[in-house]
Amino acid sequence: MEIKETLALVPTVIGSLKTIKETCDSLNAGFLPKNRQKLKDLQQQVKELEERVQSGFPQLASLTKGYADVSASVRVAKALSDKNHELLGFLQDTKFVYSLLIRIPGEMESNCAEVEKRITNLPETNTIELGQAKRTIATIRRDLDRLKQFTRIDPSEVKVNQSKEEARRLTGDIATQYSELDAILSSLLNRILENIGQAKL
Amino acid sequence: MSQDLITNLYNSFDPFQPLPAGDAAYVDLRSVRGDANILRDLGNKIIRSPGRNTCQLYAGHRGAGKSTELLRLQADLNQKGCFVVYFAADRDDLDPEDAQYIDILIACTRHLLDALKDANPQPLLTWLSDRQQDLKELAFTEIRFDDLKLETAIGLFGKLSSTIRAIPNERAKIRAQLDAHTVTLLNALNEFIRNAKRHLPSDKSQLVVIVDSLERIVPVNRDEKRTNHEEIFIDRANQLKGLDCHVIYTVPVSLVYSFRAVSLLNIYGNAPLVLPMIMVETPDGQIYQKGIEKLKELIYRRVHKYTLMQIFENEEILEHFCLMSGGHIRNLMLLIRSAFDHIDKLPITKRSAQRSITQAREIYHRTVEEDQWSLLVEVYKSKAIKNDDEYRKLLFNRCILQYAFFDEEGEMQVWYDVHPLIKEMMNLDDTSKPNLLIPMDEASQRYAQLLSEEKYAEASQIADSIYQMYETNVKSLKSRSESDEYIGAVSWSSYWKLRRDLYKSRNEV
Repeated sequence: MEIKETLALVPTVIGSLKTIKETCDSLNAGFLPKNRQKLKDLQQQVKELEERVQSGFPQLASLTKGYADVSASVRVAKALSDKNHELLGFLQDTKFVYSLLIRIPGEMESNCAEVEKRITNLPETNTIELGQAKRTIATIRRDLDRLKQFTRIDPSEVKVNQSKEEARRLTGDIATQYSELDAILSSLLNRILENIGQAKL
Repeated sequence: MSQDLITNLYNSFDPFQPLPAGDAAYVDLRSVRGDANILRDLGNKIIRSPGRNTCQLYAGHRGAGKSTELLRLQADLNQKGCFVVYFAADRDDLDPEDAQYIDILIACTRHLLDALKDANPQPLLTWLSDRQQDLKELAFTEIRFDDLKLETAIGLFGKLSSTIRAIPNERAKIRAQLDAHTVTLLNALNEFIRNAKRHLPSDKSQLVVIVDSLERIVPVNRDEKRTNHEEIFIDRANQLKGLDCHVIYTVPVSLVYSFRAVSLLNIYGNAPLVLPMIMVETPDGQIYQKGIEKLKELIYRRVHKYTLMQIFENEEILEHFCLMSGGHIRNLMLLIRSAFDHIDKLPITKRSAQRSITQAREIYHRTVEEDQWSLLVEVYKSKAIKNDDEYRKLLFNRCILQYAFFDEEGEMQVWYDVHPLIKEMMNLDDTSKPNLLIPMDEASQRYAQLLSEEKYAEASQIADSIYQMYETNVKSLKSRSESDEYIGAVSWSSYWKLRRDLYKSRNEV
């Protein structure tokens, strides 16, 4: 089931719980002497379930939005890395390549910062995936630092061509890491949802 | 209050409104324009020719200030005993994209009839009456030709003019019907003029017609060696000269600098007067401070209630505008006006100024055809133009500007340069292609700035305009699809397309 469908179910579930609760409250326990305790237990269970759903729903909504934001940022960052990788493959003119080398890191860095910020904004969880995501971001940052060195190179043909190959490899690596990050985030979301399902949040 | 102020200032820089004679905003630019003085150079010939008619040509780049100068001349001649009929032909009378001699003649007739109401219109009424069959065929069925009056005639010539200007199909029909009758119309008009000259106000002794905006007629090649400019100003010269009064026509600067220059001199008896640009650089590439100061004065006069520093963040911005205009007044007005579009409050900042310049540069970039870049580099290096249609096209499009100054021996030196907005895009190492990196560098900076301010929609617009620019480039380089330039243009195009779309989800947010 899609997340949005799951979320759409929440109000229905809350509505149904309310109805069950009202029904239970309206039942006269005097007519059910043997099952009085069972009814009491049921009322208690319904109450607890309602509380859990009601407190869990905003959390789930915020989590879903947070995940969608991170995912969009990761895709943006990946698309730009891919494009830079592709451009470094196509461009032959030294001036063009130099121009690209000096402007690549700026936007890629701000994209990475955006991804990082959005991951930090995710509801606090303690999962393996979150650790993996943070490690991947650190790797991307390291590669970006290497890319940044090319903004200071000598614009001579030899230097530019040498740097181009290395920059191309790095942008390719970064794009791959963003793909991995996307997969990690997907798995993170699944785990969080599972946790919600098991009420472990 | 602030918005009203910006609106007022914005309107002070209307680039399409010539200054009326005597306007306080007028600045005498002779000293930075090769001593061009319309009152002396065109006016004196008229004043000194009381017994005979003169026909003079006035040229210059569009937007250089010719109309302002002509309005000054009109006022000056009025004071000196002339009755002057001035009109801008492109306003109501002809379509600059498709104009012929007959359009000019009809326009002259209409304006003369309208301005000289004391004269006897009978010759023109008779001419109209003789043409009634033709005119009825042109759907002028509501006219009662048996009882033509002056007002009807003015209305009819007005309708002919406005139809010629606005309706291409009807334009062709009018020309087909009336072209064979231009000689008789000219004769009738001259008869009317002769009568009018006898009925001029007592303080007026000469009649002068000034036909402005003909320089805007777009050059169209008729056959291999001829253009519509030649058809009008050379082939029809006798008719243009044939009005029985003093006449001044504006002409395209590209014609004046064509191999037809000698023909113009022989036919019209004097070389056309050319209004050069205001020099903002010397031929050796140094900033010409005197020219810059004049342009600054020109701006100051338009905003005289305010100090320039209330309007511009610093003086450097103002001087950069002056320099980037190439000394072309309309360009300067456009650049400043466009900078106002990018601010919500004063002053004009460096960023808004740069946006305005970049936008203008993109337009010029699109104007230059692929094979013209090498010509521009040549002009930039030699400060001269060759007698060739391609150079004339660039002159007509204002990609090349003409300047003049007097050297130490008092000799006038005329020289040419590439428009500064284009100059920055030229690749002097490789003359065959533009330097595409300049607009991209500027755009990248703006784009990054906007992203940092989270103005994603604006960033996307910038990316789109750069994408469009590279797409134009891709198309023009298609024949060289194996070349590095083509590959570069395709790559950058896709890069900017991606950047245009990249943050769309954030736009929507």
